[in-house]
Amino acid sequence: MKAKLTKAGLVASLAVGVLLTGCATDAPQDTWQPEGYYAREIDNLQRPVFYVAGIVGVIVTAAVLYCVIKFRARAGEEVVPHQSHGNTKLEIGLTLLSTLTLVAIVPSSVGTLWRVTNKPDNAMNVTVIGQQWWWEYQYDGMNIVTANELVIPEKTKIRLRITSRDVIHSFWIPKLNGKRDAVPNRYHTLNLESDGTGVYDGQCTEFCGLSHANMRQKAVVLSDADFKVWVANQQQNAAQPPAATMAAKGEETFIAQCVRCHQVNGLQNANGEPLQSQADEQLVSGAAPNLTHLMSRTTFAGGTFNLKNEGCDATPPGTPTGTTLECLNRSQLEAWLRNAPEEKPMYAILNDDKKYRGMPNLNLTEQQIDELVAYLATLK
Amino acid sequence: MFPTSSKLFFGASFVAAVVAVVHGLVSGDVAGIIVLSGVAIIAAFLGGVGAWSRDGQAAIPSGGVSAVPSAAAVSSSIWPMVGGIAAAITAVGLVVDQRIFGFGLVMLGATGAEWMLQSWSDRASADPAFNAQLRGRLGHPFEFPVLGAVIAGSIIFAFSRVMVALKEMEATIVFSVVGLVILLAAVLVAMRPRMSGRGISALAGLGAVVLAAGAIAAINVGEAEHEHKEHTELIGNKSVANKANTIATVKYHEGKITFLHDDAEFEDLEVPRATASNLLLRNDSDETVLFVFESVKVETDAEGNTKLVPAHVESDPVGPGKAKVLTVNIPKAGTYKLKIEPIEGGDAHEREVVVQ
Repeated sequence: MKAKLTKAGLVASLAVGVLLTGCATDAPQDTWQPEGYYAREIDNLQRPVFYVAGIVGVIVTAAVLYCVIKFRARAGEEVVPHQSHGNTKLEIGLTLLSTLTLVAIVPSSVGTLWRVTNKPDNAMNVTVIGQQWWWEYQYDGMNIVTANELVIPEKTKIRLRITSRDVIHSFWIPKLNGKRDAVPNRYHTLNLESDGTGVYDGQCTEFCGLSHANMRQKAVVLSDADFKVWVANQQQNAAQPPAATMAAKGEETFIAQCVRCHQVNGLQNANGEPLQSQADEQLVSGAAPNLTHLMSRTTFAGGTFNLKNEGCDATPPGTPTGTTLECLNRSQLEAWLRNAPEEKPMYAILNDDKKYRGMPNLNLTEQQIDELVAYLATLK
Repeated sequence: MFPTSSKLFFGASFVAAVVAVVHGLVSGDVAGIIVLSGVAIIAAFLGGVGAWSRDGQAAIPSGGVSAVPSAAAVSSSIWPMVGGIAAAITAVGLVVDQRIFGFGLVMLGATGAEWMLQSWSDRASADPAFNAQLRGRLGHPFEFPVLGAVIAGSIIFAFSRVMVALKEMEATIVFSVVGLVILLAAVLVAMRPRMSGRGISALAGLGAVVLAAGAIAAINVGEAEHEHKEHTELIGNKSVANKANTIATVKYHEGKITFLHDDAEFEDLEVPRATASNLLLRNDSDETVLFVFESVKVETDAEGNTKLVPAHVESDPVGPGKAKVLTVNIPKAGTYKLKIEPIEGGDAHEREVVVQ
């Protein structure tokens, strides 16, 4: 008896523990805490449906448990209970009730679907491209290409056009809207809008290979004024570091090693010609993150690692978001440059087409790494 | 009356004779008629000899029938007859068509198996009911699925013949009526649970006869001619799938190229680099044109060195009022040209496309 009680207590504790996890108030990807029009529309639909479904679920579970306990076979009982088949009135009643419940949900469900998917007027268009294992954003008509952190103005309708360069991914910022698949050679649309400024986490929700779990993204929502500052900064080319500095040497290494995949706008070769990345010749996806304004972000490597140390609030001059040299998570960035595949699982070996999936180990020296970090820190 | 052996030969003779006549009427092939007639005559002769000599009933003991142990009451068998028909069909197939020959072979194999099964079960005991049960236990697991497949295949074939013989509206009406009739028949059966098996069989048989008659009539009528849809291409391109599939619609009208997305016009067409992207090309002019995308592509030489070379991607000719999809995948960022070139000559028009 005591053993039984102990077991029951253990099971009950586990169940309560699991239930308590639902009480978290600061979960970064909580669909129950909408922060914008579209997410709230979904929330307004799913809450009543969940309550009704929850009540039905409790009633059914209670009825099953009651029957199992009340009518269980007891020791020494050999009489077969009375066998009956169905109860027409009950069955018709339950069928009608279920049907009416579903019919009641249909109008609000269809209405929500329309409101969430309809093209908003005067929306800002952003093309979102997924690839193993990071996201790229191209702002229509603004000549801005950035990665992983989708910077948008508050209280503005954003129309995303989502596609993929390699396999199927899925874009999801739970607090701003539902998810949408990114499929090669297709463009799917998704609307976003945020009530106010803030940073909202998301991640790829379609298994896309080895580092699927490390394919994360953020929506960074700025005030209108800050967003304009951010846009103006993003439209600038990268500034050349002063000659004979560590950063200048880092730029040389960048040109020798990194331009093969990464674009830095404004970078020139010795003849003054603009340098263009050749990611299409190196990578299966054909693209690597544009690093022109790396330091205007707070994460790197597909949002896997913090570029900015937690608790450090400073932002670079001329941009409302990003990482300063003081806040730079230098050790993680150095580790990445030292051996990227060791930090994040990738198929960073040449395939039959002599192309990589993800960033390979470049076998840089410690000196080169220090110089590269100094150069990257100038990309604000 | 006829011994087993003569049944087989008479069956073969009958089928060969019928096919010889049909073959002669349809094709006029003298060699085929001679072969088939020969088969019919020889089979009839052998059947006659068998019936006369009663060779198949040999081995009656000298003590008379009463001396035979009462082991089995052998049931009448259709398999010799079916076997004869199968043999004849096989022979006919040799002359007429390879598919008929194959069908004959399959039929021969099935007949042999059934015949063996029947013979074995008939002699299992002196109780015919037990023998029949025994035969069923062994044979039904094979026979029912095959029979079911044959029946289902026949129904599908018959329905398909009827469908292809009807025009769109006729097909809609006919199959609505057929569905209604089947529903009513099912309701009738459901409402009369004590309806005899014979009644249900009669209903099913009636349905089969109607279906077979319909199929035969439809085969005679032949396939219906469907109206050619002139604008399928354009209608298809307005589908949800194609809208989702495209990064933009490029419209050409009165010498002007405009870009549209979500039904709204926009100024600059921007396409992501290294990303397969579909452009829906809509020709609203009254001339047939080509849409041409001039960009770059990477070429690798024998030593593995790469270089950029001009790439020229063009659509099929797009007629007035028509639309086509052109897929572009530009590896490098840059500014490229989208051109409209009239097939009949004349001025080409172009606009810039930005690849980011």
